[in-house]
Amino acid sequence: MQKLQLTTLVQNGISAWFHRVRVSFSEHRPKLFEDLERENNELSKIVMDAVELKRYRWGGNAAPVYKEIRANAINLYEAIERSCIECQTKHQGDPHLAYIRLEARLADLTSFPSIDNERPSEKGVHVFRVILQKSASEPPFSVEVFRRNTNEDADSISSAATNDSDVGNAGPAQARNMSPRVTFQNAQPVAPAPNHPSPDESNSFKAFCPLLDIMNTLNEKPAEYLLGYLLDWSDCPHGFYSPRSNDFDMQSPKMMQLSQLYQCHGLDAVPAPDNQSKVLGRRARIRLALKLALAVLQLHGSQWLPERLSSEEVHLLCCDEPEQLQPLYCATFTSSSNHHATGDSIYQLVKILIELLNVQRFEDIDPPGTASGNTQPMEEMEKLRRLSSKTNVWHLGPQYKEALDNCLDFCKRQKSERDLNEDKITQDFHNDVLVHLIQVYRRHCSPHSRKGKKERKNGQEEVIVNAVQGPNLKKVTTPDSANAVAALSGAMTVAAPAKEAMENKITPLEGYLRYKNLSCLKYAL
Amino acid sequence: MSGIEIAGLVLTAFTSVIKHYREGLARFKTLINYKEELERWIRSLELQQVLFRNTLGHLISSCAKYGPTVNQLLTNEDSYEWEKKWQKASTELGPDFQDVLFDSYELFKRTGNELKSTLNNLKSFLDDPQVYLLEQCRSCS
Repeated sequence: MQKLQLTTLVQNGISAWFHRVRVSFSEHRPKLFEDLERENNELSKIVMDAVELKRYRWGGNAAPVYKEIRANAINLYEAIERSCIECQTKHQGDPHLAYIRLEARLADLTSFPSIDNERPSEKGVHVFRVILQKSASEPPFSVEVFRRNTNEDADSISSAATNDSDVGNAGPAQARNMSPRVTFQNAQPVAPAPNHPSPDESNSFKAFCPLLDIMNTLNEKPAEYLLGYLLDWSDCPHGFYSPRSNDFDMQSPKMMQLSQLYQCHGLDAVPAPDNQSKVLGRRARIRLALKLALAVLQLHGSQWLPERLSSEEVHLLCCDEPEQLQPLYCATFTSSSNHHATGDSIYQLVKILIELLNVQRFEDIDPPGTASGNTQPMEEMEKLRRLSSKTNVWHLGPQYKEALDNCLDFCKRQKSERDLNEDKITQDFHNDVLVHLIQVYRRHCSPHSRKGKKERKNGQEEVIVNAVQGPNLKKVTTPDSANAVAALSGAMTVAAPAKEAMENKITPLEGYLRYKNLSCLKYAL
Repeated sequence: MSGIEIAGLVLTAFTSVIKHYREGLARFKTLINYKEELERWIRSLELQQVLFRNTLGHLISSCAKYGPTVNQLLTNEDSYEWEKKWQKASTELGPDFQDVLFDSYELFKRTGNELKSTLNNLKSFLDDPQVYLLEQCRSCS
């Protein structure tokens, strides 16, 4: 009996113990797992929101910047055109040529020593690289052109010019009277950079044509200083500047068409006019795609863009590094030139993006003789869609594909170049196409990419700007390359003084970009 | 420790805890209905693991360089190959993580650390459940 009671007691005790253990298990579980669930949900929310916001953060407010560049490009074209036509009429010479790099870059004024001495600006200026050629048989020269926007600047330049007895025309009053005359003037005072001789003042300023003036000056002194100003009818002078570091041989730049690069065998080596083997590799293609997309945003509506943007119309400035290829467009200035943009640059851009994907001319990818080669707009879109989904589509990465698809969507929605005049559409195009291409560019050409840590350019070490790191913006330069600057391999070369960069100071340009929340445009401009 | 490193630790912690619980079944066999209870635990853990993987996958996808290889990065977290892959990705993805998370980066790191310590608690609880449970029972009575 006692034994039975003892057994019962033990059994009860054990079951009670088990019961307690089970209860404690069940009670404890929610507490531990609640913590886990809560933390996981928080993390998920943080990430989802950040990813969603990223798109907008990258986008910034880019439309006004593109608008400003476009206005400058139109103005520059008109200024050069007037000057060239006037010259040809007078001298019965061959048509002048001017190549413009198909995007503007944003430069810090501190990179212009002669201007910096006068009045440093806190804001960057948009600089166009222009290659001038008196005629097809003459050697081309490269200059950079920037525009000074304020009347105050124009006044100071003009009044300086009037002190020169050789010039004598286009003083401040004349400039303000919206004179249509375009005159190349000596910039006074010209402050040459150290180690460079000053321009010979007796040289060239009586000459009529600004192109001749510039070329004569370049012939004499191919050095680093402000060559002069091109006053135009809108009261805003363009400064012509011989760039500090040319990304090509200034005396004999070699040009070739983009379509020529597609020839030969697919993705790799293709012969260049100089009989050197050139490689249109992945990075070069991504770079070209970005620059062409930028060109559409920056130059649409201006006459710098070809009537039909195509690989035949896009010229490339050949250099030692295939990745440094610069897309250019050649404008021929004749008195009879009647250039009208067709307004389908976005559509043409899609074609070129597909071409770059396949490294083939569009006609070769989809010959006109095939069944699909019709011209109905919707079917044409479908054809583009089909071609963009073909093989090789992942070769340039998913972001490139996304940019291409978004570009196609713009075409499908009947958005043409003219619609880009609207800020919202420009912003959308920037967010949906440009941002993706910039990201692809960063991925393959930034310091974090395997190959892109350091690029050699004209024997100088050039460091490509790090990704837009937000808080880490200061880390864009490294001591060994401080003078080589935060640069986007030509797309954005900001010359920052070595000392300043060493100390990690923020340059005015960086400050401006930060202020405007346009850090992303460090890549774009 | 960077955000991506913390994320990697959480990933391995999840795998390790779940594995630990599966292998640690013998310890619970003295309990009544231990299977049912433990399966529920493991299911909850796996659910949380999937949620975390999805979140991380979303974050990595937005850093498009690793877009196509997200699957490779988020499977077999206990293998040596994965460890190597993750280490390589850490160096390259680190800045991108900061870029995407921007202001939330610090918060991400903090929450990730908390998640890691919760998982460690769960693991240590299983390491010696009897002591842990007896302590709990004592506190109940």
